[in-house]
Amino acid sequence: MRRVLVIAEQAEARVTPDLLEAARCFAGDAPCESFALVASGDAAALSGWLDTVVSVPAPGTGVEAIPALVRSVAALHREFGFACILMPGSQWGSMLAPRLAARIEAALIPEVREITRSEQSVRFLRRVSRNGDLAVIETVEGAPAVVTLQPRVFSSSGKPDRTTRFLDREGQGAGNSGIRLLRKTENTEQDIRDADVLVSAGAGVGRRIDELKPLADALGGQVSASRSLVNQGIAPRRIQVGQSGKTVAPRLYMAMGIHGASQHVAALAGAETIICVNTNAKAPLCSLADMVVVGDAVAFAQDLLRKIKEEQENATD
Amino acid sequence: MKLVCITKPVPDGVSSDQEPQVPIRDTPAARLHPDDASAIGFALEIKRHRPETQVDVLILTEKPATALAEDIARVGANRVILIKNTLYQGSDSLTEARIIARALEARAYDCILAGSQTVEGGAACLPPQLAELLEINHLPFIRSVEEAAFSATGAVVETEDGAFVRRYAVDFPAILGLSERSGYRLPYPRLKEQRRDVSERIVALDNRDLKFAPEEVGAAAASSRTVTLHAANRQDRAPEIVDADAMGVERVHGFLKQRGIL
Repeated sequence: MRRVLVIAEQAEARVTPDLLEAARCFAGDAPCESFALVASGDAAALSGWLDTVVSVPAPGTGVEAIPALVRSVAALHREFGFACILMPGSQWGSMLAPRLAARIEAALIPEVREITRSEQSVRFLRRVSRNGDLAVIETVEGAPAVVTLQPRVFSSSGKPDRTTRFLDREGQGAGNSGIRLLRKTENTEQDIRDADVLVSAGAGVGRRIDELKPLADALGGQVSASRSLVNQGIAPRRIQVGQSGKTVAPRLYMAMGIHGASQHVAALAGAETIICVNTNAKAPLCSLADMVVVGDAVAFAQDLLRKIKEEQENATD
Repeated sequence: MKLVCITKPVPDGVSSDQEPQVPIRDTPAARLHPDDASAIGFALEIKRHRPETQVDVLILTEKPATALAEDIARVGANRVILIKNTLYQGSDSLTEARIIARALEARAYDCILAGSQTVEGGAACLPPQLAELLEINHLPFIRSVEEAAFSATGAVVETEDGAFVRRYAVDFPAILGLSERSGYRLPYPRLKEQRRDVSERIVALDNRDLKFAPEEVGAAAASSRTVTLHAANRQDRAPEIVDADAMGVERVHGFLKQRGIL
């Protein structure tokens, strides 16, 4: 029988719903045994979601623990022979997956956004360029796949209806890893190039740029700005998108009141989805957008935020 | 102190054949990734302050890269090793890591310097895979290195992700993955240096030196393959236009949910 393993991010100590959904997509309708590896996390929380949950002790939660975790997963792979190993596409996952793939001689497929199974094969869809080109990848016959998932793409549709067995395994060589964490501080100046979502203000927003922050927070993103606002001293240069600012590649770029000079557009080539909110639907940037909202950007931001909050409140009732 | 920088010049984009649709990364224009350039820039900065430092730069390339290698030698690298063989074309990152690991077998090093990201913006896969093969540590996303504490036995560095800045002490040998945000830059050769003959510092390696069997490298050794490529073409896309009213809010909200953003 085919087997799939999901690995919880150690800092979060839980298997997220997107990993469960990706495992479900990988299994398809064929018989498939699902496993989770939990390194010093809450294994009991997974009861019903997977067939087997394996707990291993972890020597840490950061990069210093990765070599030991790779050895633990490799030992588990030797025992069970997984066809696919799934993990989050976070920085942690992107450090773990290549080492693991090298260790067990697996196909490494990063930042997957879709998994489809047919009778003959499993196919993985992933982005392969900053321009948004997508590739369909499949593994060579018999090769296991080590897969990281693009964040927030898979959403769970399964139910906790399985009988879960719980196993404990020894950790594989903690000791001195040769990397010691000396200090960890919050990153107070997050870089807009790291953002998955940018709500970006242009001349149409002007001095009301701060009013976009609640929407950016609700979307898990950051506020950025066009050169026009930086030149007027309204926004700091570190959040400027453009050829004289920063080139960005977010999943969502919301251009709020931005006309779209060529220098601005050039820095957006990697944006996956663009929504323009502008009183002028013929602004140059609108022609590149997936969606154009015609109207006042700040008022629309407030209305959309209200809708998001209403939905969230309804979901928690 | 012996530093080895590893780099693989990147294509200036990905295009696709119409039939069959397969990615073409082998474009004529290739360049050094800014992160890789930072890694080499950092090594040369250490050498500038400590001239006894040996800096070797190892370039894995499918393209003619002699001009690039000469420029790197002219700005201070002791040796530039070009690994080039058509047999290696189409290799996946693990095979490339194996090629570099074999090229490093005969070379002593205290620290290997590399970039952190790919041209697509994801995390680079080759350095961590090389670290696994060499059984050494790998620390990527480095935004600063404490130069005074950098020695043949270890370093103190700061890494950055979206939420946290972490300060680590790392023992060597290890692979350090620099980010272009570290501020280190690969200098341009000075005008008077541009014609200096540096050929004695360029070493070319190919499969006669590395001795891989044909089935061990290239597409034949890859454990995955690209079935199709869907090229994005934003220019041809007609945007959906809505008004900024209740229906527009509803539509955008639905669109964000559909895209998995909400």
